[in-house]
Amino acid sequence: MSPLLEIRGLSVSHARGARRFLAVEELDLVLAAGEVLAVVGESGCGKSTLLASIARLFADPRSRIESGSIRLAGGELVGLSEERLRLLRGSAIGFVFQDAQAALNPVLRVGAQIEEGRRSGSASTLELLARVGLPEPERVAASFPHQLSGGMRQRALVALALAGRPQLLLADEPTSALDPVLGREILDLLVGACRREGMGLVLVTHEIALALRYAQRVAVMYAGRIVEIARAQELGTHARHPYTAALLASDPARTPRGQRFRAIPGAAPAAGEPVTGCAFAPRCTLVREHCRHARPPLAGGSACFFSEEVRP
Amino acid sequence: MLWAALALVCLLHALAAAAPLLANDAPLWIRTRAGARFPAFEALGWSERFLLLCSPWVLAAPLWLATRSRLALACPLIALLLALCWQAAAGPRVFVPAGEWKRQLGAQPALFAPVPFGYRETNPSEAWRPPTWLASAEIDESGRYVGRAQASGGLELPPAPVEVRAGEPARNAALRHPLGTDAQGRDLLARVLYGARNSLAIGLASALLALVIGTLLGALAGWRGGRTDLVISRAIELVLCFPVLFLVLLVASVGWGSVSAVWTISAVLGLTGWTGVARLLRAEFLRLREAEFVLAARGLGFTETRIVLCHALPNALAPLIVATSFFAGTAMLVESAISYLGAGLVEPESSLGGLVKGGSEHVWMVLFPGAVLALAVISWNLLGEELRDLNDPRLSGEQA
Repeated sequence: MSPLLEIRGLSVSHARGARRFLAVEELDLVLAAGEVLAVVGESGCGKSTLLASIARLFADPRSRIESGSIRLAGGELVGLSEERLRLLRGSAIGFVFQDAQAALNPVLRVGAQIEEGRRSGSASTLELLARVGLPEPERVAASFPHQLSGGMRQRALVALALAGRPQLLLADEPTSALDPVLGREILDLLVGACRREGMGLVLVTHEIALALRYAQRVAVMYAGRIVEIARAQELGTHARHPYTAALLASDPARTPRGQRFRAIPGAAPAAGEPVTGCAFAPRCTLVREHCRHARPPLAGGSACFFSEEVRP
Repeated sequence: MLWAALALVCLLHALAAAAPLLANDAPLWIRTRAGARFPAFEALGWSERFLLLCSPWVLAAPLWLATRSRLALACPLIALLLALCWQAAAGPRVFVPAGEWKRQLGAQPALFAPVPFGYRETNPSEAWRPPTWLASAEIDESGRYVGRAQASGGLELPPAPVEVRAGEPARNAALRHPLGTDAQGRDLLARVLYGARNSLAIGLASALLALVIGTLLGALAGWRGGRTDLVISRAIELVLCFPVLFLVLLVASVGWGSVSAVWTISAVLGLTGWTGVARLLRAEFLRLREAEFVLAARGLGFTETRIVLCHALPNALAPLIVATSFFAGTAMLVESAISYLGAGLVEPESSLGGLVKGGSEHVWMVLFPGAVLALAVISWNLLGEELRDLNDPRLSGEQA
């Protein structure tokens, strides 16, 4: 049986003025039905671009997929006509956006927006709202987005994503606009919904702690590539890429009390900046001369020549 | 405040639409030997019948807006249908010279409109009569003003006995001519009513035309962007360069065959006035195109048409409505200016600007049409402002 989502050799480019640069390069990813995969990395590493390219839902219409293949349940998405892809959006691929305030239409009532997203066979609007843990679904349905609190809005946004009964849910930092407690509630909700309905979930986040807690597998991205991909437990205890180790070390929650957490020195390469060798080399503590000339391939789950030497 | 403004606009338009019922020299109903007749309605065309049938619906508009009843939207269609049936059932249109019905009428029972004067009905013996509730308007049997010193200039006509026709109030009744008369003894109230009818029609028709054209082109420019935007933006600049007043003067004075000047003026105002709406909507759509909820709507698999109509347009509605309703007010002012210059509606058709021009030396001829014009323009502007607040739920004050 083919996996729910299979991405092979995906390269995506953005336009800046007359020039183009690659935001995602030669990326491979596989997701099984019912699986939760987290993609972590710092801002600008291409994780949101990766998500947008799956449904070809770029914020900038000039962005495009340069090469590679994206298969959803065996069907190829790259090269599919806009119209055919449109029919898949909402019904096969659902989106949960980062900022519910911006992603909900301010002048339409919440109930009307969810009603509009429903497909035949979907649960009723009120049932959807109740399912995402909103008390008084009738009142929420009759409200405008600005009349709800931030947490309620985000729940409504999840209900909107579930309205079309998608097989694959793409969540782009669904919690970064919320406080930590609310964020966990939303993620509990998302992961629970996936488990119940057998949906696949790709969760993009910059908080590695959340990724480790909620995902079965975690992919770490850096400068448009996956540098490490592993099961969550393994990644948390035995990081095999220096960047993952640095990310874990910089997480305040994992730093023992009284000890300063270690920020990663330096900055990621700017978008479009030419990179030779390993993109992380300038910031790496284990860097050798070899790293600056040859690009390490993603082998055995880690894109590092010296993955054996990485200590968490 | 919103409801007051809305009620005022609706009231004015309902009165204008029902004008033939309110001021008419032909009786609404008479009994003849052959049976009942309805002379006032025999002179109407189908569009006038349609407007007449619409007027209660317009009057009740605040009510059906408050209840958000969908049935109310069907009412104009029902009115149109009824008007067509009525037209089919009615005999051929009867043209009777102004005032003829009242001269022919003997002692048989008849029912007249509240203002029993036609807007074209002249009465030379009553020229320039001030509002009849004033003491200075009192006239004796021979037609002399009682309270006024006699003939000052050589051009004044010798006084003649006032002709009181069938169905009219008595010679010195306070309500005979509540707003006075003009140079040909036509009742100013009837003329103001029909003048307001023409002015409001021009305001509404040109605003709707501007709204439709401006929305289409503005949305296209803003949403498509690129070359489409370039072409439409240049078109907007080109149209903005037209000296509108001169263009309207030209078209209004040349005319367009047998088409009423009301419609030619509306067309010119609408065809030159859409740029404001278009520029507003273009700017709104340039902003909305990038909005995250539009991306989210795309993510839900909606068609582009649906996103534009159901998601983007409702967000741009507020400035559109404000612009349209301000435009309706401005269009009425422009029409009045043209009529004042003498190139708009031609006599005996009445227009508020023309009335002011025709009697600028008499205070009642300036005051009453001017006040009605001001009232109409102000009510449109008020409505626009109130609607803007209503359409923005963020300003509605409701909080969860």
